[in-house]
Amino acid sequence: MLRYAGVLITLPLLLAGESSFDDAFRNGTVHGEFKLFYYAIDKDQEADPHAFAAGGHLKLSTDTRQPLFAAVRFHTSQPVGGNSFPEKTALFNNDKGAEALNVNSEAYLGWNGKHRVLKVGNLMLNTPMMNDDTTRIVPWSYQGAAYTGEALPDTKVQLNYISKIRSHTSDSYKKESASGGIGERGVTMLGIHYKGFEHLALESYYYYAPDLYSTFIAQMDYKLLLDEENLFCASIQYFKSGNGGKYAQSDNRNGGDDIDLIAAKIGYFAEEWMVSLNYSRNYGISGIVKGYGGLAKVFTTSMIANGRGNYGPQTWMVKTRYDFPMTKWGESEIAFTYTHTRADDTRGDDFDAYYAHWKHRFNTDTSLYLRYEALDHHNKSDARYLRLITSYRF
Amino acid sequence: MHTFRYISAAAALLIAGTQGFAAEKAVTLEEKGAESVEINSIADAFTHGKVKGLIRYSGQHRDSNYHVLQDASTDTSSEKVQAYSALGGYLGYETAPYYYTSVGATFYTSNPFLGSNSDSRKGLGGLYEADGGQDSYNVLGEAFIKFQTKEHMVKIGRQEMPDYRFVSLSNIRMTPFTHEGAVYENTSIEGLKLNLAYITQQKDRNAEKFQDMVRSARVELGSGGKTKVRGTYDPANFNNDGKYAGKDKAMSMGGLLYSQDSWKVELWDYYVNDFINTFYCYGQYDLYPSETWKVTLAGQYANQQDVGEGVAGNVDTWFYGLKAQAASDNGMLFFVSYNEIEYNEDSYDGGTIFVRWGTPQMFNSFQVQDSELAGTKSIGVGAQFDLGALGVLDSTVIRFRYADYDMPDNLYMTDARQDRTEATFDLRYSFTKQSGFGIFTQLDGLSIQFRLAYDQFETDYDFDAYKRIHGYELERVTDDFVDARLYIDYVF
Repeated sequence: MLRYAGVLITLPLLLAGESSFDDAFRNGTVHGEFKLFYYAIDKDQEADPHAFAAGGHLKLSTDTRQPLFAAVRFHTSQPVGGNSFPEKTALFNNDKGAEALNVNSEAYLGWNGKHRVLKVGNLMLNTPMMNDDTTRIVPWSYQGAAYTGEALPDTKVQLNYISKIRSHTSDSYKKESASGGIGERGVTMLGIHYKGFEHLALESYYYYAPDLYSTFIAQMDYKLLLDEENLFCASIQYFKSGNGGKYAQSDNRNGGDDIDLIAAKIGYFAEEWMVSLNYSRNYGISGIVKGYGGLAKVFTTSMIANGRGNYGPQTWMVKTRYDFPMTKWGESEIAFTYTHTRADDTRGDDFDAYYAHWKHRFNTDTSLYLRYEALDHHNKSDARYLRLITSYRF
Repeated sequence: MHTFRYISAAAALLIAGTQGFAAEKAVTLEEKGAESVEINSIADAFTHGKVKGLIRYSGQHRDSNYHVLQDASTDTSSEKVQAYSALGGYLGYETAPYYYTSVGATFYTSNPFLGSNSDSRKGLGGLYEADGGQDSYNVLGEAFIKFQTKEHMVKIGRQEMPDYRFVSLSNIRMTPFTHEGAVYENTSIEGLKLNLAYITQQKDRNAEKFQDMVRSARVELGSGGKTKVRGTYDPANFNNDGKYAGKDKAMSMGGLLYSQDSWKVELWDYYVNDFINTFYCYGQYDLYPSETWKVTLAGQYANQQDVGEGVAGNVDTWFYGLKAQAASDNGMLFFVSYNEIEYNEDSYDGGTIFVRWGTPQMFNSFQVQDSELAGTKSIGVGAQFDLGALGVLDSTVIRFRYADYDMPDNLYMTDARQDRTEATFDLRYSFTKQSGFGIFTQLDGLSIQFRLAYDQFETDYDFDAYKRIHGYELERVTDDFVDARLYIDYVF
């Protein structure tokens, strides 16, 4: 499908004339990011993987103000030596023995209409069950078409059709999602956002994947601005899957046809700090860790610990963050998260987790990010995770 | 330990430099390349760097499974046709120089697009073939740091090396060769250019990985029952498939180029540890018999010898070439050229020249035939017409060539091959220039290149007798074939 769409859209571009084609490039933009990433995992009674990676991305977009536009983005993650069991860090190409990972994460042709955008090709998405997951250097990406319409007041409609998916540890687009094959019929998503009510935002999604499983999602967000520096928020979300196809596995940790999850959070944001209490309860036996691709956007999400596992976990999570005042060296924040998860099913995973991070932004483009999380499991070995990430965007 | 140093140094550089960083600005491609901008910080260097990009559609079709060394490293399938149709190119970014120093990176890609890209048609190397099919590939082909003043240039890392004769891009599929190593160029003496390089690895045109310089030369123990390696060698350096499996070997390269008004000479040497040394020299002299015509006389000579452990056994071969060319100032060009390659059955593959690090340098290296095979004596003629300059058809250049390759073809010869001829036609059309360019001139903007070759092989041999004598078959091409190539390039 990609190839035919490419021809259909490229031909008019070429025929539109050399000068407009040149203008589209002359007024295009290039952005990039350079990252150094260190990741170490320490598990009791198991080998301890660690890896260094250097990489980032380079993206070119033609003039997006034109009716027709295009973009291409490459990501790379290169091992830089001293690695141990690097495949367990998910930083490299696990299809090819954890070697360097070079991918075409975006290559699409776009059409701009009035309040409408259509993109066809390789795409990075940001939806609850299909997203890019930028927690490594190389994200997930998707092959297909994505339409966004905002013609109706206060309403945004998204319609995506995805025929192939590339995981963040692969350079190939396949008919394979994070939780199983998607077959010839792929995944179709309809999303509706409505912001017409004061203080209230509503969004709902339906993922139709007949060969795997389909998922309904609803979310409501309430925000009350108390004054210029203080905000109170409360949200609730619901995930329900079903209609399992030939590739569905009900007890799959990443996603199956028996997700029945409700989550809620309340939070308070002041000028320099925030605190939130998050809760989720999955009444089904299917997990929802990655969904169709990326990381499923459930409120109970920390770096590693989460309430998205299988066999009916119930999770409480307290998140806090403090922003230090700006200095001549930039701006720092520290954060702490406590996670408490228990499952009714004996096959489930009971654990308590402690997460902390220090993030320093030297300016808007340059940052240093130190993340640590310790998981105390009740029925398997404990684990500790450390990530050090430096990043420069240009 | 090195990793720690690498990470630490890079992180320290990154963080130390941030004090000079400014907030990101939305800068278009046109503004990025502006040379008048003053660079006062690392942020300026990144913001005002240069983008290089190519969008290429390329399709190639050869109605034969005839496979030459310059095609893909994999063999062809059983189907008689080899073909690919692909969309790809490259996207690269190099920062503006800050204290004469810049960094750059380029991604290269090729993807099946339209046409037939069935696995059974592989062999040409337009798509990724290492897994047995014809698939997409993406590779970080350039990642370098460069220091450049008016007279000195040092570049370290993965990079395109376009101008080092035997080491060059050979960008005749979807993406070029790139190499990994360090280069130094000096132009401090007027008319003289010094090139030095230490090259550790090469990325093949359609590869995802870099390989050392012996593997890149495609050394193999033998093929089709014939042993290519001659003399003393260590069998442990080859795997069960007959491919080189020994230690990685690097190349040291030096080049001196000296030019005056009407003449120039070039001396090059390429030394690959424990493999071969290649010495190459080239000279040309320009004559002006009239106000409108320039005649160029050129000669070339190369000598290739095994060195050190000689992982490919004995290598003792040479070639030379002579060429005369006449060009008019209104866009006509005619040439005649001659090449002869040593035939030596005590040398690897009978004296075939290793040319796999770039574009084969023989004058009679045409479209499919490269005139590098053992004992080849070739004569070529050609004519090129810049139709724009001639006032016939704007923006169009055409070229016709014909070469006769006289091979060593007696039945008793270990490395006999069929005599052959090749006729070619090339057309280049530019959407940005009216005239003054050639078939391979790098052109900005949109251009189209169409190339056609017709190859004919002599078949009047007793192939059965040859097999009876040697125990293996003479490589046999019984049907004439056509090799057609189309490139639609947009360079920005």
